[in-house]
Amino acid sequence: MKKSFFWILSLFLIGNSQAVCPDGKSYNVYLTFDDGPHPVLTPKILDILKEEEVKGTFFVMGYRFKNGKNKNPKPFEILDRMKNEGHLIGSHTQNHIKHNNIKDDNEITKNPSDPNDYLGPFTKRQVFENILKPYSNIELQSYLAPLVRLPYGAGKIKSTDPIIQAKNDWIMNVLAKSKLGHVFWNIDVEDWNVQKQPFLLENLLKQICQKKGGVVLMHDTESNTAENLQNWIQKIKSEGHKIVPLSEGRKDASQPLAPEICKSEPSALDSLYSEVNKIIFKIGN
Amino acid sequence: MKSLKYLAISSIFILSTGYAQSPVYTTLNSDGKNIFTGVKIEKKDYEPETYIQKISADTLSQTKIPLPKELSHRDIIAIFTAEKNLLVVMTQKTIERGDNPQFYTLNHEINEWKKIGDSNCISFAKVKVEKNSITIHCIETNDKGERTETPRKLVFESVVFTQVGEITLPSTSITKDSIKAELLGDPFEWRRLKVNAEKKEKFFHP
Repeated sequence: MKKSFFWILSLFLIGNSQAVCPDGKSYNVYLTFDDGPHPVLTPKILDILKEEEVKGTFFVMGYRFKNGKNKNPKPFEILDRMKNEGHLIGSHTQNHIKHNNIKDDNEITKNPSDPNDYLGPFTKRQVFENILKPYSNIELQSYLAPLVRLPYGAGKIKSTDPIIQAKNDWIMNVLAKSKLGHVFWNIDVEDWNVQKQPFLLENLLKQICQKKGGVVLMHDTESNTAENLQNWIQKIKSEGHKIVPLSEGRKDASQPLAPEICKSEPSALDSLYSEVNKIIFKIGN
Repeated sequence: MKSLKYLAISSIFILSTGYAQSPVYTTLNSDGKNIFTGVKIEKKDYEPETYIQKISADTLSQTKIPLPKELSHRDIIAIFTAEKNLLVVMTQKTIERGDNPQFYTLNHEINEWKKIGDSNCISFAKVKVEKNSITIHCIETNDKGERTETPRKLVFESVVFTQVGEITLPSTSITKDSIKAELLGDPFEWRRLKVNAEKKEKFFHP
């Protein structure tokens, strides 16, 4: 009995000896990828994840699927591959807009589908539809877990300005009323930022230690990420950290996971919109 | 049951928003009389706060210059000096994915801000400053997965830059007349500023 106890203890110590964080610990890390799928880079990233036997979560942009499976099958094929290889797929909303730049419904606003207009302002209705549109796309909704990551974190990140915070609360209420969860991140690789490129790996490993592990934000649309991901994963592992899936993946792919409200007729969206608007009046916006 | 599973996934990360850190410098420049730095304070769960720290080369005293409301949560990426006490302040949101840089002039004598333009470019390291313009060398990934570099020029008729040439961002040290200033610390975590001016040396914190 005593012998086995010391054997287990020594195994535990050997396991921990790999850890290089200043506190002597290693942590769990969850990999997430925003903005895709990219026709070339996402398959490369999936190859790396497969080779390294690692599962990730992809927050896809709804606009990439707007032409439908028949006209543009490639993004759907990538989703099929993600699903078959056990990755989780969430929504990064329809267009990469700043959701909390909201004006009154009767004011002139920007076009959410124009990348030059992504910073807004938008009407509440435009924001509402941009969040729910991927779940209203019949071909896309069956792939999506009811998990959203808001672009720029806008809506989730708090503001000290009460007017902006009321808009943030409204956005989070749209998610809550639609039974959609939000997945934030606490480790930002900033893989899009060429100024930081020479320091990305060093910074990633530092953040894992400082923040005691957590959700890593990357972009599967960045060539930098496709080129370096394998090295990053190997380094994370060699430092003793464990890369774990955000969930166990979708085991029952036949079950659609979109919220019930998005599967019914368009009037359901209208009633949800008026329901959400009741909330915003209560919080004084 | 499945909904509960996903609710659990998202709730695990509800408290993971942001990370409290001490303030960092993001860039610096000097007009020969003052040193100007960009400062960023990250607050747990909240948008970062940013402002300009102005240090007089004569007295080595510091003044905080707040940014206008619409810029106060945007990182100060670069500060360019121009005639008539003007600074051109380049800001960008760096949360999740960068947004388009915005350019404002600041008359630092009277603390007057004015928007002069923005650029459709998220990722860049090199900028070329000419008399009335800034060209950003924009790095993008195309549909083939290749990285491309495209110069995007912004002309500012009302501005005459006093320092021209090609700059690699971020600026972390500057020598101007008798002033030498340098940001100290790990890359992008510069928490100290060393200033040598008028034969005096002083260290600053944001």
